[in-house]
Amino acid sequence: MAKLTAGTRYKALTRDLMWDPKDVDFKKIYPLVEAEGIRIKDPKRWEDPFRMTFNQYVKIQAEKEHLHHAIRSAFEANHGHARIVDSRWFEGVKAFAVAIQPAEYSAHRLMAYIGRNIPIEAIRFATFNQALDELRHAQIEIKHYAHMSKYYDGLHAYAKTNENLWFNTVPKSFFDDALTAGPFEALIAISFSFEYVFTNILFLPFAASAAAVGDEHFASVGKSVQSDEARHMALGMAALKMLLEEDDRNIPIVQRWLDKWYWRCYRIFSVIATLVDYYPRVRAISWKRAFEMYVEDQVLNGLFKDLFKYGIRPPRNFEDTIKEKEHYSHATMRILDHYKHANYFRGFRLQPDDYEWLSREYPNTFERYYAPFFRKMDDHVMAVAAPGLPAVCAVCQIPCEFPNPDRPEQMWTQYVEYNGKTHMFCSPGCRDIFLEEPEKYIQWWWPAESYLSGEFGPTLEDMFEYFGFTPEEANEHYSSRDYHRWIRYREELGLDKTFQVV
Amino acid sequence: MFVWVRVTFDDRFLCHQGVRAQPDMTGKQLLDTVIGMWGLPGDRRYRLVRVHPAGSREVDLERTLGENGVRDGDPLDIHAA
Amino acid sequence: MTVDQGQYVGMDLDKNGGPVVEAIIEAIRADNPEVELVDFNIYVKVKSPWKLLLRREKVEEYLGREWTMDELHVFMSSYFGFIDEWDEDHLVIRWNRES
Repeated sequence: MAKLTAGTRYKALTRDLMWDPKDVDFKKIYPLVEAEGIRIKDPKRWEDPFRMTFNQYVKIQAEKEHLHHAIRSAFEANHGHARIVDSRWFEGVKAFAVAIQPAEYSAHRLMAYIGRNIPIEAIRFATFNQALDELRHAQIEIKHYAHMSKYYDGLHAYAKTNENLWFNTVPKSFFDDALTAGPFEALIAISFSFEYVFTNILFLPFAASAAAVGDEHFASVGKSVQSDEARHMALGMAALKMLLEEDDRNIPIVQRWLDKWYWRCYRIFSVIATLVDYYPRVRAISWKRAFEMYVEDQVLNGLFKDLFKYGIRPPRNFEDTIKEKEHYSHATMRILDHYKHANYFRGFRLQPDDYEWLSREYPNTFERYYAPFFRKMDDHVMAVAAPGLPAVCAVCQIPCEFPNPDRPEQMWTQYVEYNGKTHMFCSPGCRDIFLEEPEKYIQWWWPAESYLSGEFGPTLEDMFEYFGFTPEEANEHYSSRDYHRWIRYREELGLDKTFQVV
Repeated sequence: MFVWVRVTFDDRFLCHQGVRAQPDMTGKQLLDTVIGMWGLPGDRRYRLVRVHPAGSREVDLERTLGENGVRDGDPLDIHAA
Repeated sequence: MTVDQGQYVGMDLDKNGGPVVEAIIEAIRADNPEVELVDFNIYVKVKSPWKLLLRREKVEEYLGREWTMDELHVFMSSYFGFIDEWDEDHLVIRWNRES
């Protein structure tokens, strides 16, 4: 057989994934295709930019797996966990474990949902590949935590913690929001807003931080995951272009989704800001610089200028995300510090080199608004654990403790009266999302409310049982048993020695 | 029922915290509960204010939460008098 | 004068690719005179104003062996711009606007 070109090979291997049903009404098979008001005239026009076929996909993915697992095995065999520069990094990895891994799994479900409900061959094939990618990500991440769990706290009842921890309602509600949207909105939400606009900032700086602190295993997880993202981004970009070009009536609908999901994705990334600015003791890049490069330069000043010709403007509230860049990681770390007594990844006492780095990278905000709080925390870590459970934002579910970037001494909390109840929001961005779809967000569930109404039993200990870990696994890192264990492993390996050169 | 309470002059806790309450408890009783939870000085005087998007309203400490129109899940601020 | 960063298209390459990534970079340099490299520890960002072209033939020339465009998927961690052309011989990433 003559060698096929990429284009003909793709056509040959993806054709007939769609057909015209004769016995069943098309709309019965695809009941959601018109539900969102999206109009598609000629779906055949849409192509996967990389035209990847299944045999190519399998070959490429197998190579990625071989590369990653070779690094993982070497790291495990060589006690890599004891060789990183500071064990507090693992607290950040634990945060990632509950925030991101379930998100990968949800993304796999979401891709299957999109592929099932959008009757366009190329989209079905690209989402099929991506559904497999997301499962792969979830699996290599779990492999990493399984290894860590042999040595460190917090991950031993992973499925339970994953399911029940208050912190995890943040990513869970995010993906539930996308999974309960129509298929085209879900596509824009995840393939475009999440993948194209924000995953860079997740896997590039965080993997670089992992490498900077010496966690080669996690750096490899990040790189292996990210290697699939270029394909996911291509899907999002192509889908966006298709919707905008197929029918002018799609444009305001797409704009509404971009407005919503830009902010929704941005907010879920708040914890990532602390994983870049706080948890690594050797930093690769600051959140502020990463945000400027990946979001401001590449997306707001790059992509959105290209979308202008369609009548698409930058997402609503984008200015707020720029204003917040010098506050974001500090405000989020303060939230994590407030509730560290009930969380399975610990906060930590800031060290002199931390104050120095944060002051240098954030000359306008850190010393003035945040350092006094962290200094005070240092003196009585336990005493400042919050007395109860925080009011969280009715959209993003993060505690309402984000300062107004225009007046940082005040909170940004917004209040809306709806259906006989006062609803609270962390920011104007989340409030605006609620106002568009209040009936959706009033259905939210938040474990603090269930705890307060006594659903888990009368005491805080009952809640830990529900979460799947114990109070000893929470709180502050440098006074924790994890830190002492890490020091012991290092002594055992002789890594505590310093060698003089004469 | 529970309410969300924020102690506005305490910079250790910046957002509202969940506090169990009953509609027939007085504003004063709720205030005492919060003073105990936060460990606030008992010799000072405090005001309790219900936060509402249409404008905040002072809670009458002698009357019940129900009589004050405080509902399940309402946010309240405590100020130093 | 500050350079408009929004004009660049480009890609982030995983340095684990070693000689393959070096050959990709050399191939991009050969076809895109205004290319810039930014080093990020484990990644290298390759960016070019408005348009970036990568040709298989050039990569093979620098690598000294046969190479398929598919291998790019293993090491291209991210990109910015629209994938405008892609086949077994080349890739073009570009913005669609004039300036």
